[in-house]
Amino acid sequence: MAKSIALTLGAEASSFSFVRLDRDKLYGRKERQIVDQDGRRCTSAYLSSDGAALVPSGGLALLYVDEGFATIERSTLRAVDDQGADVPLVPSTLGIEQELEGPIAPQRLLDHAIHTVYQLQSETLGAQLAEALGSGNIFCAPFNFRDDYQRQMLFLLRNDTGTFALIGSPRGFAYVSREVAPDAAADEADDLADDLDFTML
Amino acid sequence: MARFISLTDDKKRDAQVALESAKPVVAHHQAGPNGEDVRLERLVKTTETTSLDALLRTHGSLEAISGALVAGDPEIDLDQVGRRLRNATRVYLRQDGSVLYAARVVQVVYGADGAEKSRADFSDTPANVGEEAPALPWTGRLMPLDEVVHRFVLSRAFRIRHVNGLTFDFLFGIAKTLHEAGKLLYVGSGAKGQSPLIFTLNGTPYRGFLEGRFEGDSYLLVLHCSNLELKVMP
Repeated sequence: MAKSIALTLGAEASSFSFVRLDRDKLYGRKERQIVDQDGRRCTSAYLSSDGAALVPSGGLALLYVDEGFATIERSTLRAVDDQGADVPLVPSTLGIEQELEGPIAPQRLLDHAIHTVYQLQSETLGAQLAEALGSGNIFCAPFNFRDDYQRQMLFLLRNDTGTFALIGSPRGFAYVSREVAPDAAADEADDLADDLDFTML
Repeated sequence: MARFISLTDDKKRDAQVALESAKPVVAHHQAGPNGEDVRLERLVKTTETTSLDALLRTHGSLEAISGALVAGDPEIDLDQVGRRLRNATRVYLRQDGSVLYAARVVQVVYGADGAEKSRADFSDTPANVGEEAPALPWTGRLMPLDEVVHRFVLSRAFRIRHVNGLTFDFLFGIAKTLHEAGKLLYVGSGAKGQSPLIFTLNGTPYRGFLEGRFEGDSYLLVLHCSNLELKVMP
């Protein structure tokens, strides 16, 4: 059985089953297809620069190699930071209760790039959380679908149609200020202070 | 290279300013078991002559392919397997595996139920945001933050920044106006801003929402983009 999104608000626990919100299922989709003169669909492929290999879709392998072009097994790879230190794996949060923070300001949500949205169905829903969501409040909690090296953020909200979890990570946009041009050196000669020279014209 | 966008403010003045994407924050990278540098390479696994379709064309049936696999290695192109594929050209293959020289591009529209609704020759949709495009109008449609985040999925965002002192004042003014209103400005293309924003040729159409904040002499102006509503799927 699929694991749930488990959350707590104060002493109350809530859990939700979830399904990914799919744009195609809401609006349909447009697809660009390449067809031959008879209208039959064609498939894409790669032609090597020397013309010797025609590689169909699915005909490429992505492999990690070292400087000597020796293949490195994925299972032996390590995640390291800029100093070469191992980065710890952050476990999945599915099925593990995460404490909700909030209500939060909507700006907090705007500061995150949302890459996944889940449509939620409550399995158990605390009365306090139900009331807060119904009032339009937004909550957040740490989230990882699977074990990963970076923690994501889950934003929980409800609107007229249902309850949703928006998953994202910080955008990192900073404020910008006017770049002030450096002052001209005080002792620098001012060319325009001299008499204007018309002989050069 | 910076990308540009032309914006109009509430005084109907327009200016061309820079548009920046967020730089992804990558706190780690992959290394080998001893900490050595590794890189990802695309290597040839199979070629058209050894694909299942090609083997079916050659041998006629899956049973016949099974026999050929026992007898030899027809699924491996020994001259090409393991080769790096660089500077390759994308081509299209007919269903018989031959290269297509005169391609016809069609656009197929599928409904939410997955059924095909229409099929027509594809025509390019030009970008309507950028250096060459007309200035995006000030729509005047201010929407509360709460309403926007409860209705739309803001999946893309761009920071808008000045390119000189004059545009600093211009953008600071917009950011201050929006900050003080505590709302987002709906942004669209076209004379009245009713059409979606398209950033690249044949790119995804988006609805735009401009957010402005300021702190002292600094400002933050972010164009949030959405192509998805927060709605329950049927």
